[in-house]
Amino acid sequence: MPFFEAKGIEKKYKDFTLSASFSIEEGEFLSIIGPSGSGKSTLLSLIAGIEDPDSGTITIGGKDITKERIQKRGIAMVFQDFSLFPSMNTERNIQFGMKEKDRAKRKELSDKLLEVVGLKGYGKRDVSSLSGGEAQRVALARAIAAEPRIILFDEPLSALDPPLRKHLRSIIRGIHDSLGITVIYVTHDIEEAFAVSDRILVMRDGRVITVKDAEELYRKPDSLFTAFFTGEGTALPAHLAFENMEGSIFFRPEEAEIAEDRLSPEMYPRHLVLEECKVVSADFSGPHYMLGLSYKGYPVLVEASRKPRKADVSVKIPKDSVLILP
Amino acid sequence: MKKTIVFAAVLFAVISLFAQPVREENELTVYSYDSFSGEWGPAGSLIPAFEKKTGIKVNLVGAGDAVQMLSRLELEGDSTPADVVLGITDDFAYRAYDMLSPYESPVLEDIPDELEFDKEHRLIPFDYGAFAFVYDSEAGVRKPESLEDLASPEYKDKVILIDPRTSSVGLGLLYWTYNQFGDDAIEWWKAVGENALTIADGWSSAYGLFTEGEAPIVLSYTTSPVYHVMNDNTTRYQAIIFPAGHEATIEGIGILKTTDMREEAEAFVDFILTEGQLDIAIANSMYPANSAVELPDAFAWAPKPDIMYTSATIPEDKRTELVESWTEAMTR
Amino acid sequence: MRKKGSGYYLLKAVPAVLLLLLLFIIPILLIFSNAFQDGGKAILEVLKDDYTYHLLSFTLRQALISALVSVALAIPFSAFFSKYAFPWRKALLTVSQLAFTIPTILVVLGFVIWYGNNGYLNNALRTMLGVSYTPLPVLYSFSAIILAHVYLNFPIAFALLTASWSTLPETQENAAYTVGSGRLRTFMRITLPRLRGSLASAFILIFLFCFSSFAIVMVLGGNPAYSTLETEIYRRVHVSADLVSASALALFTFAVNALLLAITTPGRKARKGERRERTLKKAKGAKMLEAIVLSFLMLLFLVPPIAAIAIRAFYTKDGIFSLKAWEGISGRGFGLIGGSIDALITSLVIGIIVALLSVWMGSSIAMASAKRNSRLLPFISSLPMASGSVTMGLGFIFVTSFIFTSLGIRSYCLSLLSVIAAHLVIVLPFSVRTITPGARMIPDSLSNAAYTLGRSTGRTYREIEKPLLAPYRRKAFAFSFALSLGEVNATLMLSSGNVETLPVLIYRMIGNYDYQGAAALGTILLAEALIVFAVGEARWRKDAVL
Repeated sequence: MPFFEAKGIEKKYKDFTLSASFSIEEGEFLSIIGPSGSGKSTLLSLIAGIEDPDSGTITIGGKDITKERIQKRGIAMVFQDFSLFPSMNTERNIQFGMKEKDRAKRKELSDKLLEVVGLKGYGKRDVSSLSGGEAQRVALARAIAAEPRIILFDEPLSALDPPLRKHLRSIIRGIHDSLGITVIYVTHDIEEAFAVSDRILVMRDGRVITVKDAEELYRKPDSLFTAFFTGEGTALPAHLAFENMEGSIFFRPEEAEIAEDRLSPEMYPRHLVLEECKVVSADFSGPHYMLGLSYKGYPVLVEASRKPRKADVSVKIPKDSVLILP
Repeated sequence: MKKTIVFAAVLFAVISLFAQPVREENELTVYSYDSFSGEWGPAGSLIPAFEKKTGIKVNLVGAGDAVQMLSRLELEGDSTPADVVLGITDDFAYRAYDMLSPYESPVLEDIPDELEFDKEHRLIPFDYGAFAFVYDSEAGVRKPESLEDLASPEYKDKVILIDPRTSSVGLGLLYWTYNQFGDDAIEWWKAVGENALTIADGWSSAYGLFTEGEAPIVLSYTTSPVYHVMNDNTTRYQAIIFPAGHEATIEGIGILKTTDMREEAEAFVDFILTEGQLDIAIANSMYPANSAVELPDAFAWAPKPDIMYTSATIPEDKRTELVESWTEAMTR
Repeated sequence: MRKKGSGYYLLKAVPAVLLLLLLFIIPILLIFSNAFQDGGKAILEVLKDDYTYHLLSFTLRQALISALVSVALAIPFSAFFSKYAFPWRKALLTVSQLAFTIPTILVVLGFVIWYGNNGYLNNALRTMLGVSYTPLPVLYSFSAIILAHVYLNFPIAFALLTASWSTLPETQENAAYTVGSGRLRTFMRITLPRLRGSLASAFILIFLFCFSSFAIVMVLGGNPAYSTLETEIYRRVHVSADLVSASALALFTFAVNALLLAITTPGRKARKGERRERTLKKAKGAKMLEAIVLSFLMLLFLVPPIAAIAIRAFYTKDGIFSLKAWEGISGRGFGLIGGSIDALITSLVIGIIVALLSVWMGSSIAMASAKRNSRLLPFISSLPMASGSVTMGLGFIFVTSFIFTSLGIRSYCLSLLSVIAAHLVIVLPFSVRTITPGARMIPDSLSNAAYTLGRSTGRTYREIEKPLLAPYRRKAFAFSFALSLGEVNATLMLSSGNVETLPVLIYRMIGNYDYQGAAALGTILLAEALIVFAVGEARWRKDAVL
């Protein structure tokens, strides 16, 4: 039996319906991604108990908590806007949810947590004087202090600068690894999800599309939506490559290779060869060029280490990197 | 917030400790307007004197002004705890009659007939006053001779009137003008209204404006100068007696039909009509109804008019109609 | 949508709702039922009568102008006070609320002493200009009504606006400036819409206050043509003793006001405030000068009429210094050790209990309505404002006769309790209207964060939400205390003459021709209010901005 399970939970709104089922193992780090409006935050609200589902059950450790009060669920949450309590200083914020009653021990614990999140000595600081990154670390410490069974993160880094994000996400992952806390982490940043998660859940229009580990999700997406949502790539009607085939073929730009000479498909039986591609654009991104090609009017994306000198090129992709998607 | 509740609870407890319940068995309950009751009213000295003399406990309830007192009695109906009601004026007396029973007090013989607005003696007059214009003799205006005189252009912005819709004094003036001019009363109001600096909502603000020197003539009572003589030692403010007559207001006391303490109630009424007269007269700035009572010297500055009208002579319907036509004429 | 914990707040709002139900809603429904005694004929008559609309149009006109002027005048002051800090800022905010505490009769008196044709201002101008006519004949005109109403109500607008303006960060305004929007346009398009909630709150409070005003309208207007609906209801009740037609007109008035209230009660679209509070900038240089000028202007407007009362307490009308009023207070046997000290304490005790309960009840109602996104609760609790004092007075008569006859109890304690309850009904609308904008600005995520940390709704309220309400609760406390301190009608009606507060004594003294004594008591009342405000400020100081 999984540690946490959401079974057929459903919530109807005027013009939106959320319905989701998924589960997590204890100590797992699950990210939820999806475009805005796909229901990620709503799903978190339902798990946390901020909102009640119309139907379905949520269990933690085999216990049904669907009807359990928000306070009794043992689920802490870290919010996008930090939500630190302005009426208390940093230390009191962290101590707020502690189960420990003894004052000295509470203080000791909050000091330790401040150290863990890299804010040693910040205890007496007024929360309004904290920077965004500091505030979110305090929020993280506050959530941990409550000794929850699961911590929910609702786009915790989206209000922060990119360099800070990288730093903080590694802190979050580090804490997860050292404390073994179960985490559900909502983000719209794919790279962030890939970097921190054990598994990733993709949502679209209020539904769960797929749950996979990061690499598999990237390399073996099971729909065009997931494929494009998790990274760049090329989709072509399948019949252009394989006769009498339905659906689409998909490949990532880094799998493809260009050749400025004409390639004959017969010479590369284990590759898919696209001849007579026109170079439309070439964007330099540092490590490589991203080439925008046109093949029979369809856009094709290919990564290349050099900019081609010719306007017409051929492209070859290993057949086992080409996905056939419905 | 717990602290607040505790605080409030403690306060209540303290208050209740000090507060002795006013209601006891065999108490005579008297409704009066609230300026009568309370420490500042005449009741402060009267009630203990009565209790000492008769051994009857009195529970005095200040029930608002005369109209509120009546409304309350009407609402309470037969279950009213009141035994005696004090301070119903002659103009509202008709509303009280149904609830009262007559009392032929032995003191009645000392009360002049013209004051006895209720010949059945359900309400017995205990004091009365007369409305009059009071003027500031040092303000340099000519002393007006009559109501008509006040319409003269020389009094432009020199008169403060009071609205009959919101004040018993204003209403008194309306009855006064009606008693003197009949239906032409409204014409008088239109003319003098032009001269009025303002038509105040009540006596308090009107007289306040007057003492602050906003206008030298104000509608008040003939007894008003007494205060200035007694307290300010000045005779600067004088009540003007018009030969054509003044409107009187008479306050009555009555016994409720529903009382089960009739004897005690009668004793109280007699007390008010005799020993209570002077205190009430001074506190209310009114003349005592009992003609046998002698007044202090300062009352020399409260001249009694020779001719007095009462509103009892105006039929009830006519009174309502008067105010309505006043409203129509003055406020459109 | 209902938010988590809304049940708790609903439960907390129950005492307030019960109080309103018992002391206001039931009595007023019973009174209104009078209007239907003749099968609705009286109501039809009211609706068909031109005079009704004549009165309505004047009543609306003066209330509208008074409210608009009060709010408009408050905007520049609030703009400055919510942005800059200067040493006497708090003192001025406190002083601005003083006028609120004095009973109407003293306001009228203060106005006459200061602005009157024979008042300080005109006499000074006469001496200065060497003329004999009245240089500034402001009183006894339509403008005098507006002036007095603005005088009384400017503090409401000023306090409410400053409170909510101080919580708005200026980022949006700055963004507008960077795209080339001018100051005026930015104010109209950005700032004003963000202040909408408190603007509407202040406007409707003032509007309804003026709607049922009648003493000021009559005395200072100087012309019976300036009559409000309230005057007419009073006439029908007290002079014509026609409860049926009075109820019909009262019902009509109530309906008009209730409609206005319903429209302006904060709606579902709650704007969530950005939580980063504004820090006040220190006024320096030109801004310091501006602070001095604005403060001076405000004091010039607010102080003279109340100062006139204090001066009058020591000087006779002829300008002779006299302590007679004070001896008068002490010389009547109930003296400084008796009556007035008693009254002072009674007023203080009633005022503080009323203010504390009103803040407590007001917060519960505001929180419940914010959590449930409900307009019903604040609407119901504001209804006493819509009924006018004459109608409410009728309700109180009803309640008193019920307490006395049906329950058969009577004691000083009960009288006191009734007075407190009545004051609460009167001040609750102010309290609710003052706190609601604050309650609606509390971000959900903050409360949810506390819940997910395992904390109860109650603890979350006490430790997280209540501190955020502090500036609003403080305003509500000040208003409630001030209103209760100056209240006289309900006190007289419900106390059976047992409870003597300072305003009651003031009315008694005036009844005894003792205007100087009344001024002396008024001065005591002002001093009492000032002390309570100052203590209140000190107690709340830790909660920052306002």
